[in-house]
Amino acid sequence: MKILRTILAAAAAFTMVAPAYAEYPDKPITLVVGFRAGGGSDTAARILATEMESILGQKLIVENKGGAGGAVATEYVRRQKPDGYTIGFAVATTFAFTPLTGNVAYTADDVDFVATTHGYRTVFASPKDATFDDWAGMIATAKDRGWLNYASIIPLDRAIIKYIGNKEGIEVNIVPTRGGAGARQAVLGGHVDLAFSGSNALPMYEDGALKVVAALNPEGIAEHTSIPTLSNLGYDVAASEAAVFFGPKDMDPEARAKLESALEEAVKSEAFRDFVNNKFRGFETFQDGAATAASIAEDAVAYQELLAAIKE
Amino acid sequence: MAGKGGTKRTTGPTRPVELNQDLVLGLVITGFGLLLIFWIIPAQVNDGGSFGLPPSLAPKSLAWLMVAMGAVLTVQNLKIHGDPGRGLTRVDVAYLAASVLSVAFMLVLMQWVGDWAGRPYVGFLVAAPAGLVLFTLLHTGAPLWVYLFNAVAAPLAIYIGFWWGLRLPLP
Amino acid sequence: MDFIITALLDALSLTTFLSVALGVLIGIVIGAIPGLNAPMAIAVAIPLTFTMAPLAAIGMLVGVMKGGGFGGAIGAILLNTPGEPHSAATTLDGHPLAKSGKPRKALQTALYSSVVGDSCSDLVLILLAPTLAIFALQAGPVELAAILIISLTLIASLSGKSLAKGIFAAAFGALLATVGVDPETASPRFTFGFVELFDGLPLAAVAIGVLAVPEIIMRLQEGRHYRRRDVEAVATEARQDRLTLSEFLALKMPIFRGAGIGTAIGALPGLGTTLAAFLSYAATKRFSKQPEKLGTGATEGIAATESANSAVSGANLIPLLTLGIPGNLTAALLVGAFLIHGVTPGPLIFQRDAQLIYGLFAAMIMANVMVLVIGSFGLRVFALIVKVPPYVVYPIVLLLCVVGIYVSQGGFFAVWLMLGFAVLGYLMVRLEISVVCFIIGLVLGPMIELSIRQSVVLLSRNPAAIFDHVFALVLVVATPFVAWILVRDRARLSDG
Repeated sequence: MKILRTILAAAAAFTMVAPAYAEYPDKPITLVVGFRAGGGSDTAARILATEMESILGQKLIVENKGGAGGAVATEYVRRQKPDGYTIGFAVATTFAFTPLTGNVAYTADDVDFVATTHGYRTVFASPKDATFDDWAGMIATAKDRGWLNYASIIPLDRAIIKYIGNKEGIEVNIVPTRGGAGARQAVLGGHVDLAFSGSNALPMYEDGALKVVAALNPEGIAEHTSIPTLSNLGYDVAASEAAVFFGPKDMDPEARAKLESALEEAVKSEAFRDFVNNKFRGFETFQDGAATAASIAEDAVAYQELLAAIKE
Repeated sequence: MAGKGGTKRTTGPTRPVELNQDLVLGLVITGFGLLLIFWIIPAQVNDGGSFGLPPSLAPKSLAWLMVAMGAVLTVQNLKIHGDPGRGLTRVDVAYLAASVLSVAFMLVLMQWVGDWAGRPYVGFLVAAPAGLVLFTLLHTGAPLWVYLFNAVAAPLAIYIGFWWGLRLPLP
Repeated sequence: MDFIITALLDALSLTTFLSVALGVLIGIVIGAIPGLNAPMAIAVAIPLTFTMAPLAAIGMLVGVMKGGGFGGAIGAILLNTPGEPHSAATTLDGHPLAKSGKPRKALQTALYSSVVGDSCSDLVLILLAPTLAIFALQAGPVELAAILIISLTLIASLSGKSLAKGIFAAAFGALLATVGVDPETASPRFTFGFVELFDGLPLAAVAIGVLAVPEIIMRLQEGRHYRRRDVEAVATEARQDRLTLSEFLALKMPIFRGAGIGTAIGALPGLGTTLAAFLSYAATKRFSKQPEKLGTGATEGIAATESANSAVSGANLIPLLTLGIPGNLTAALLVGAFLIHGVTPGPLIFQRDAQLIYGLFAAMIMANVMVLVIGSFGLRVFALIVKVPPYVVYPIVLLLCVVGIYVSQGGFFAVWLMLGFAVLGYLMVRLEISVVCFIIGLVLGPMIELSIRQSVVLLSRNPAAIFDHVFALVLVVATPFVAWILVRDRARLSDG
């Protein structure tokens, strides 16, 4: 009898105390990547996941839910339990710009941000045999002819070029393309005067296959100081893009803090830094969750003004 | 249509439904095309903000093409009588419904158990054997050992191959 | 020349050899699993290469690509369960031949044509890459639109018994392909509020739903009637179940025609494998001495599609390496992988990364040989699937389709779509509406729409510029004549 009571008491004590001892993370964490497997964004996420595994001492299961520029993953993650065992990976514009288009049901307030891990760089590129060499030359050519043929990839770059067109008094003839490859093809083949492009235009520029006339990200292109940013050129618009880790709203604060510090350590790893700087050609930047939320809110206001400006 | 009949004829030879199916098909296609043109396309495609060809142009032209083909099919089959092909039988419809419901049952079970467990492959390991038993039942006349083999060996092989080999998560 | 020799020595090292072999093996196995396909094989293999040396990693991925191409044909031929739209062309003759008791012959035809097609396009890549890439760039939206329209006219000859049903199927496929965010206005079309549909219907889910799942349901439906007939057929035909050398040599025209078509289309970015496969099939049907045999298990049909399919994958690397423009999904994944391993696509890649690039070429040739060797052993094993009772094969294959779509498309949404499309596919087969036309419409429809809309935007300011596009104009003018010839052929065939 006495033994039985002891066992029961021990069991009761164990079950009551157990949760307090079970420190996060005590089971595998699912990382939902908002891009299809195999791309540059997915690779960065997987490298970070591997680093985080060794820091947290727990498995990270990478699950790809690509589509709509991260919106599919966002819709999924925000409906999961906020226990820190399901987190997402998307980009800043998924939260700062996409909700403004009115096509998705979420806003930046529907998720908790964990951290920003690295930045993307974007540029305006022109064909190598274009008659102009720089931004001013391009504007002059377009004014002379009356219009500019422009290959667009996403709604944000379209809004920015429309804004510039309005300001300069040029008619912008927007050629829609699907994905980066279509725009690349149009600009390399000389079928358009100007195209939006990711940092993968930089090696092409270094090989002399195309001209880069401006950078859209506010930080500019560090290794090519001759490429002006849009603010250098006198436009108060920019496209800031960065990789963002997030979780469902009201995430367990302890879990969020642990993930945040794990990421802060993971971005310092040699493998990741090499990937970002030399392969992906983005830039290193780390922001904690609060800073990420603040900069996304700031971007959203800027994009709102941009959209209002081109509507008039 | 689904679920109607079927039980009486499961063993008999497949008999075509008694009416010219291509005639009905032509009418259905025409009707669907018109439904697209007058209701679905206006409701689902927004032409605002377009500068070249409007986004609704391709869907509308395709829908008109479908209406035209539906009409051609209808007219062709008004003249010719009888059904040259095998056609769709009631057994087919019942069978299709049974197959789809089996897969749907497995998916719902997998989703539900997976959500509840929150760990990879728990939902799969519960639902896949159930699904395989149902699928094997659909193929009538399998010996008993096959049910056991399909329900145990196959999910286990997929689990080992996909999870341990390829690290692909399933619910 | 020194670096070429170094590169070849590099490629011949044991590590490279083993990684290419491993890649081919992974590709064949994953490509052959119903529900999975070559792009999925690449996506799975990329993380495995993170820690490998650049050449070994790239060699392995090229091996996966090539192995995956052949693996896709295995499922298509033996089980009629294609994993990608272009494999639907392989099923047209491959499956009837396998079903008639000659699975090995069908697989051998596919393997040998595939390796020949691949080697031809690799040769073009190695000898002509930079020149060809610059030439291919001349093709802008106007040219692509013209090429697509004339190709579609050629492919229209594949529309089964009823032309009206065939055109309906293609139109319906093209209509479903308009689902998603419109590239021009960025507003969604037919998405019914689902974010998952913004990037369009997941092609793999639709293809497997329409092509593979109905086949499985019908085989299950045949139930106990199926097995005996099948075994009898296998027993009587087994002795002739291999491709003789003279039979293979007789296929040289379809194979080289397919290799030519595949190489040309692969070098032009933005057209893709499905177009090449069906175009080659249609051309072979047009020029065959026995066009009525195609579709009933003719080796010509298998050779035409498989050589074209594989030729695309080699030629695809031309725009990929020199311009960074991927020609299809598999190539798109390769660009990312190349970047990870420090190979930056660009016109100067042959100078900048010479050693790696020539190593890659050596690895490609090595991979072709390996596909031949591993494939020859593998097809003996795979051909045995036909002897496994259907009540074991089909339930498991159905589960694999579900699992494959879940993992490759990221969730249940695509699986439910697959199931919905299975209903559509089943009804289409029973009502004799061409599923192949539906798939062609689905794949080519959006390309035609986008290139026409791009052309309209580009020419809107200056319509007279259309006369700069002589090549496109010639094709557009030729289209009605091609259509007329095909209609005449059709009438003649149905008379005879």
